Amino acid sequence: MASRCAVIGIGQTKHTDKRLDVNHTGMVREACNRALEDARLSWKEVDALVIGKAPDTIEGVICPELYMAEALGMVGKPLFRVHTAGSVGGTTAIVGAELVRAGVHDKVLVVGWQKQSESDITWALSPHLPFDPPLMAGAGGFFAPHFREYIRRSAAPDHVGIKVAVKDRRHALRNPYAHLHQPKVCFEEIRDTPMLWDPLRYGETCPSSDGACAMVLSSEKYAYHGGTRPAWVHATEMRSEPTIMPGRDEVNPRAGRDCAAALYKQAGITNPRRDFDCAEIYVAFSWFEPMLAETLGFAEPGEGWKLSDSGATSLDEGGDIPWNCSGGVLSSNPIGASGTLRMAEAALQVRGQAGAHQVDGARLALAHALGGASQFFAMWIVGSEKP
Amino acid sequence: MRNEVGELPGVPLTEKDVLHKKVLSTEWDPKLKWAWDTGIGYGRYLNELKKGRIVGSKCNKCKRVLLPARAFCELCFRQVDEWVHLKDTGTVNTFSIAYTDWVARRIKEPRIPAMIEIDGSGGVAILHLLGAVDPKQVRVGLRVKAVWKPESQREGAITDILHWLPMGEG
Repeated sequence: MASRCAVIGIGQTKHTDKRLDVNHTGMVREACNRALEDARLSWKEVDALVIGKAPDTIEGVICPELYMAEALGMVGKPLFRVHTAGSVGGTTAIVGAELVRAGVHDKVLVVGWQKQSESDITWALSPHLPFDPPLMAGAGGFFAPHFREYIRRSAAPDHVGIKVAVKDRRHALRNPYAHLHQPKVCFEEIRDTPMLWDPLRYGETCPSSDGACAMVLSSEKYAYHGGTRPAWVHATEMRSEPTIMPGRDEVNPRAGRDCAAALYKQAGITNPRRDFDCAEIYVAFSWFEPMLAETLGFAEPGEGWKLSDSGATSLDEGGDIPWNCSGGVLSSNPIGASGTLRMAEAALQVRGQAGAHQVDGARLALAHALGGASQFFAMWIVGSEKP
Repeated sequence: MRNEVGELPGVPLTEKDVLHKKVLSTEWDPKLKWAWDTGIGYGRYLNELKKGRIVGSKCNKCKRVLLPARAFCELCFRQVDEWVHLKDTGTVNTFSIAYTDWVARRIKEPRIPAMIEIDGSGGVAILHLLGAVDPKQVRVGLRVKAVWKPESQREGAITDILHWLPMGEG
């Protein structure tokens, strides 16, 4: 029987550059244990597990879900793996939510993770396939031309990217789990980092992190099992588009716009900036914030940079629509978990559990994950009230 | 969720413990070989590159040219109708100035990866490299032409194009 879906348990690890004390499984268990503890559930009570991780070449491990099943208590139970590149953590949460909403399971554990310290993403992104010139030098090199085109179209001033990076790194100081904690981070510090892929500086790129994030999703029946206020899933949506196709707009991809439109329709959102209290958006490089503000309807085309520049997305500046209060992907990037973290951080906000990065009275939050060449999109809306 | 980062029982490992093999660890350098099936569309595309030509395919329903050539149209979900030879000239759509090489090592003389919209493709830009261009001279709208490797060195890959040079004025 169809049911509403609630987030009743959330757990994550302290994101860092190297987790040498645990292997993949140990790190995943750590996040899952915390989520189960939060939901007051035991491993045995979990009906199914949905896991998301980065593509195998990026992770350097082939199909770990197979050997991890025992350690994750899934022997004899359904275990799904989701594959949507960088957006995978978001899609994983959506698959878990769909299993609950469809009435298939009552208590689903979803988890995303990555140990970047054990793999080489730059190698994985430069695989010498015959149709791709080996020019990408990681994701930043690939996206830099898109940022340049955004800047050209919108006539955005250069300082906006730096400002976004400073803002997210300052937010990270409020989040004990964030990877980068740069207590004195300021405009000059980011501005003076080396230019890697003009217009993108080193300080405007995400770190490589080891980390995991898990959530317990439940049907209405178990929504209050943990004794804390649940976050209700109001809407979920995903879209994708090809890497290369005639007329594709990499700066403002149609799949992203369509995904947001369908999501907003489900939840009755007409003015995202007004209707949401905060948002966790996949901003892996600084310029994604103004670009995505336009894709997601927080600003008119060409105006996204003004939103970022005005301080509207900053907790520290008292903005009306804070983005990435957790510090976002710019401060912690275990890729396979980065999408799950967006979904989980949005849920933390509407549960009132975000601690020092809590947005006062947050009732409705948007989470967004992005993957591939800005081509995979996964989004959800969570709220403090039942949908 | 608990706000503090919880301490786990036991003694945490340090990086030194791992480096000095105090914990059981193993290093393995696998020799992995793999093959990739090009399929009909990409196969033709790569073969034509070897001959110094850029080929796309056309869907007569939506009239789009697909590049690299593909066997079916993803919008109309039908088999494409014909191969289309395109010119090896194009326009710089956008670019970046990269201070790293492809394995992310720092380099002093920047390289200029650019999205080059291929003439006759109806708006498909491929990521490639501009050669021998002063970064200050690069601009969106710059007209460029492919410089091909000598035929004997081509292997059926996009790298059979060495780089792109500005047309006309030099």
